Amino acid sequence: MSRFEIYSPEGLRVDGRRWNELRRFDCSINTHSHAADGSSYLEQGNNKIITLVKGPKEPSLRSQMDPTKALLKVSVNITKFSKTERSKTSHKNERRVLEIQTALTRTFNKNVMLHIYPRTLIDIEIHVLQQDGGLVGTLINGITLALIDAGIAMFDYISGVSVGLYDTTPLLEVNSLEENVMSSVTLGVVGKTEKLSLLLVEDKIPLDRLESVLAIGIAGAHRVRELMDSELRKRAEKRVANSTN
Amino acid sequence: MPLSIAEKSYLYDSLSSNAGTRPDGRLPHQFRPLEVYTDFLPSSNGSSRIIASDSSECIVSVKANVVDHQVQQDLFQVEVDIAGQRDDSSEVETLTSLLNRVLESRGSIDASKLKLTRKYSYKLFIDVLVISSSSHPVSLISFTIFSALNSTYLPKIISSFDDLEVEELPTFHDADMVKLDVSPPLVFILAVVGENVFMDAAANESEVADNGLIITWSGDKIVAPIRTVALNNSDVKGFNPLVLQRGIQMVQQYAGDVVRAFANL
Repeated sequence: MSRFEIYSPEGLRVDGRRWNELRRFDCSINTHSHAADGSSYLEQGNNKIITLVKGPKEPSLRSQMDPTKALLKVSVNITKFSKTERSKTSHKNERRVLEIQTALTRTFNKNVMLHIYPRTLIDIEIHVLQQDGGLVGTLINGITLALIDAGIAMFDYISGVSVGLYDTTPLLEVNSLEENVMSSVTLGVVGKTEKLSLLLVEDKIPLDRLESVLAIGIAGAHRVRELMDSELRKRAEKRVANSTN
Repeated sequence: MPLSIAEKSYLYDSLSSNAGTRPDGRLPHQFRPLEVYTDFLPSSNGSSRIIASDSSECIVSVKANVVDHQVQQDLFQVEVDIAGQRDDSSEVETLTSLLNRVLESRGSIDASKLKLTRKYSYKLFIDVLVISSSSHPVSLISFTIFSALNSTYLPKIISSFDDLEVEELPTFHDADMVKLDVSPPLVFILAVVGENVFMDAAANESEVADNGLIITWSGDKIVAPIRTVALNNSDVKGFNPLVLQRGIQMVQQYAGDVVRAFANL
């Protein structure tokens, strides 16, 4: 097992957080204004991702055109250098990455108003520069921010967060050390509601403990939503100020 | 954005005229502004991100591994990933092989700086990610690799240098890092239009260029590889061999300034 004390009797985790504390959250939007229609750069703990949204645009292939709604395509590029130990193989066609892409596409299919962009393609491209646990949650936040930047109509924010279960204690936002030694779930929460648009359970987790896990997860996701919202509002205020001058 | 025939003809005439007027008013050797960020990936030994003013962007990570240098001779390994292109596409493969050739251990770079003991060396894995590029990215990639290698710190060895007698693995200091001091080669790309050569060609200039020259600079001299490359797939023509000489002269004259600019970061 691990050399580290995952959760000390005093209630501290390996990185010094308590059970209900989030990691450092730093986001910015419109970082690649020329390369894409919407973009975001997100640092959540040691996760660092760049998200580019290209579209709604005319699809290059006929097969990607739906006369009733837009098609959402998510591609996740996990770089070889993203973990501490460099991986020899590219992650492009890995099963886990393909599954993550499918899960993200399904989540945002329900949240983006695709019917108002018929015959178009919305291409979401994510580059993971560094990862340290709870990656899917970070990806959700990155996509939400980039879609908002692109001005694509959505019903609400989706904020993602991961929660681990250590013995009987739920731990909010696991890092990679914690992720390796305990089972964890990832939530995608719709706005300020308690509705889940994604529940990703990749490990076994006792059903009677799930309620406390979900409770802290939803609270954490609401906090993440607030952090994203305040950054977006700050940004919007700046733009308004610039345009009136 | 594709140019019309009239636009192309206008651009070509102004670029190939005696004065060589560029659409943005730059001098033939003048670069557009670059934004450089280094050391932003704590899990890599060195990292760099360059954003050009046309929003071309390249990210490079340098990670080190300890290898037996009798078994593995190549101590630099470059891998290129261009967003939206397959790993086995011809552009990615050409770029990868060119950059590996530039950083060859037997070539112009001083690989002895990576030697740890008589048996072991550091091997550097240089991963390139091109997020977007509007003209040929080789120069941008090379600059990013240059600044990433110049911001690379490697763990300090505390065991002895001579380990052939006593079979031991190198041990490292827990906290101390040593700055890597190699002077990596730089790759310049020049656009040839008529009798003129231009550094750092923008997308519209590349579109009308007769040809492109790839010229490598290391330390204080021009080194291999020197190549030509097609910058567009509609207007590629041959060029006067004297133009090559002119291009080499231009790199010789101004490459030092580029190196100094990066060294002052």
